[in-house]
Amino acid sequence: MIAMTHAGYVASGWGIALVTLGAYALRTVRRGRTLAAQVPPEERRWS
Amino acid sequence: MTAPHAAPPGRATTSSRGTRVLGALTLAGLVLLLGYALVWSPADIVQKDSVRLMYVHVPTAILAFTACFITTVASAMWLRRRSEGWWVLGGAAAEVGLVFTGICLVTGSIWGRPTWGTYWDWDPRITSTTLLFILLVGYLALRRIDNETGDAAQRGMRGAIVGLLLFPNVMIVHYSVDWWRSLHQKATITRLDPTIEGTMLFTLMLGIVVFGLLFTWLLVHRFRVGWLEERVGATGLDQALVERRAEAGVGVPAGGSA
Amino acid sequence: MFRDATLIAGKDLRVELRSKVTLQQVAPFAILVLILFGVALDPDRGILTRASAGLFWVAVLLCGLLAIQRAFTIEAADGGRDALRLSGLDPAGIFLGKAAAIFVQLAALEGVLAIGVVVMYGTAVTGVVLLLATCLAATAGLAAAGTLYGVLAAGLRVRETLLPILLLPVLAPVLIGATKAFEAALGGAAADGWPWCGLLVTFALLYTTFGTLAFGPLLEES
Repeated sequence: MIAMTHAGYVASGWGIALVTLGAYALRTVRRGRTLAAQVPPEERRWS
Repeated sequence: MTAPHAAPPGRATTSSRGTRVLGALTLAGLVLLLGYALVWSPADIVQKDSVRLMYVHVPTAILAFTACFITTVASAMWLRRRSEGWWVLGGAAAEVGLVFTGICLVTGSIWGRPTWGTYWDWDPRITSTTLLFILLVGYLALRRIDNETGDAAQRGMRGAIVGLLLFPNVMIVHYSVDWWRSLHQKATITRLDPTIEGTMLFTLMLGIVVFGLLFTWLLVHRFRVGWLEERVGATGLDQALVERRAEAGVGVPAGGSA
Repeated sequence: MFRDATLIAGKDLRVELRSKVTLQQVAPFAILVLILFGVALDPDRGILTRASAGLFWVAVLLCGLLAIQRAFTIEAADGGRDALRLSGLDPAGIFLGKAAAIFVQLAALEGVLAIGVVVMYGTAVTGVVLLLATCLAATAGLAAAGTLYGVLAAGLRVRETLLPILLLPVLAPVLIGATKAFEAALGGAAADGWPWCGLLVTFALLYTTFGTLAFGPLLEES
């Protein structure tokens, strides 16, 4: 990472990818929690 | 069932032991991948360090196509079995696929800038991937619109037909665009030279595995979210009926308004 | 099945003849598109002539969207779709009939556009056989895929905005194939164009077959 050529491009590319995936993961899990609270446990037999 | 929303016992979440294990593996793999991608693998002779973007770009491309395949298969299975699980899977795969397609496009475009001097150069893959993106947007839009109207059987058919055609369309578009652009073969740097050096090949494979794990983890959670949405939709109607009846039973307003 | 198709095609075309929407609205739109291209791209630098194959087919696609929207709007009014379902006509026949009607209208539009392109862009016409074959194959594909996706979008309130994003990516191969074939024909190298025509024929066959099979279930449940 020291003196990488095109460092800006590599960093922004990887950065956008990881941030996007992280945000999507977070959103999905949060939606899951909200919905699961409204549904009785028989309907969500995975946990 | 009279009392609405009695707090259910147990953790209200879409996680399970399986996803926790999978998630942990994915995170560990991601750390390892970052190490290899950004530090331990060498820079390319021609592309220099921008090749490091390939370790995101290629896996996400592969997974975007896989997602479309899953949606098509799920649509076919729904047409045969009409079970809700296949319907939910189609939508979940498409949504996760959309995210991966978007990342593929962005990383590909950013990669293009130092390599070709431009963010877009009508390379067959970026063109057909953009069309893939729009195909997915259209499919998800159709599902969302249909969700707001009609019952399950009605809306299922439209989405299923479009979903069924999704992967074939992706392949036809990919093939035609490839053929079209191959006539303009300039001396381009191919994205990934098949005879790439050992560590780079390993990093690429690692990238495919790790992103594959991440894709699976996301898909499972998104599937469960979709499943819960169906349940809430069903119980929501029951709930509304209960409430309406309760209102009617409690007393008729003196003014006689409905 | 073919008798039902003829029935439906005849009905749709008669509606068109009486209302003259394609004639009075879509054809002028076609010419307008050609003019817009001319305005946007410098007419004096020969771009229009060189690009006439592609511009022609883009114009066809845009007009095609309008024609397809129209074809299903006439059903939506007065509960025409339910009437279709109850009529006992073979759904495959209905599909072929509607697609055939759209085919005819598109062919007419292409005629108008062809004249427009020759006159306004100064395109020299060569390789007529290839040009005609391409038009037939591409239009068949457009009509088949358009009818299929058209009926999907037809029942929805937002069909005007949804149909284009559903249909245009699917039709990208038709645009590519038709443009390359036209370029080959107009450039005097017709031999290069026939493989593209083959792609168009394959596409048309695929969508015609699929549409015939899928139309029944679609009508039933939407």
